[in-house]
Amino acid sequence: MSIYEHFSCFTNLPIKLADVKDFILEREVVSKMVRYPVDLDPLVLRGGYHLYHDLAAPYKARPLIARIGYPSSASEAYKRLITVKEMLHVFDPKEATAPTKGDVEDLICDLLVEEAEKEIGLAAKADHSRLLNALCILFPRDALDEIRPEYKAGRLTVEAIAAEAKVPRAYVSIALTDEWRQIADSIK
Amino acid sequence: MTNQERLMAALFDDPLREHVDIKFWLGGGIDVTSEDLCREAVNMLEQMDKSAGDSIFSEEFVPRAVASFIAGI
Repeated sequence: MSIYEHFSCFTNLPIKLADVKDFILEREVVSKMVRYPVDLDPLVLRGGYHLYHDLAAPYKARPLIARIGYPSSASEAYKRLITVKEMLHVFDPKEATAPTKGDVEDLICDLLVEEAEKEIGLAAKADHSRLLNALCILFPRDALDEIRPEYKAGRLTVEAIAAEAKVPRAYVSIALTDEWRQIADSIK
Repeated sequence: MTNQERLMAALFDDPLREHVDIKFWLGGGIDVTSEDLCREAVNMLEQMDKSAGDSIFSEEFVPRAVASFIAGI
């Protein structure tokens, strides 16, 4: 079962970051995940993900460590969205990773152009798509199916829903559209 | 040394690490250059190196059923 299928049936909000982390660790995709509040220029960087083998570990274990950076100055909702988006990169296929200097240079170049302007690499595409995937997890399908009719009937506001789910308001608005249901269903 | 060179050194020159992947969520600024991005990326990695971080992912709230949320309107 994919992480999206697993969380799609959740009807309790907010989704806990620890539950997302535990799901990933149980699949032994990485050995350890650590998140860090960092001071960042928000005009340049909102978050980051770094994956490496720890060669200092005893017995040549080479554990795979995932580090996630999020801005210490961001709202709780944005910290959560950034953390989940970056966590999901552990599932990026090998061809969408940047393991060499050339790959990192290409990623940086690709990120700084609009996707429509040039054909970008898989690593940059993964960077773009994981945001929608993160929204799928923080705002599960079944929870949304209960909330959406109440929202459409005017009994719930975007603000109240955002506060309940601890998801940024702008992304709640996206998730409440009818089109989002189809998009979310397409994410496997 | 350019910021891109600093980033490459941070990722590839540590004998105790073997780099596997890196990803970024870009900020909202216009005309961000690769040097800007590399500067902030190095800044982020350096701050990570100086901190123990949070491996628990602790949050102080108790989730509740959406039905209870709706019923409380």
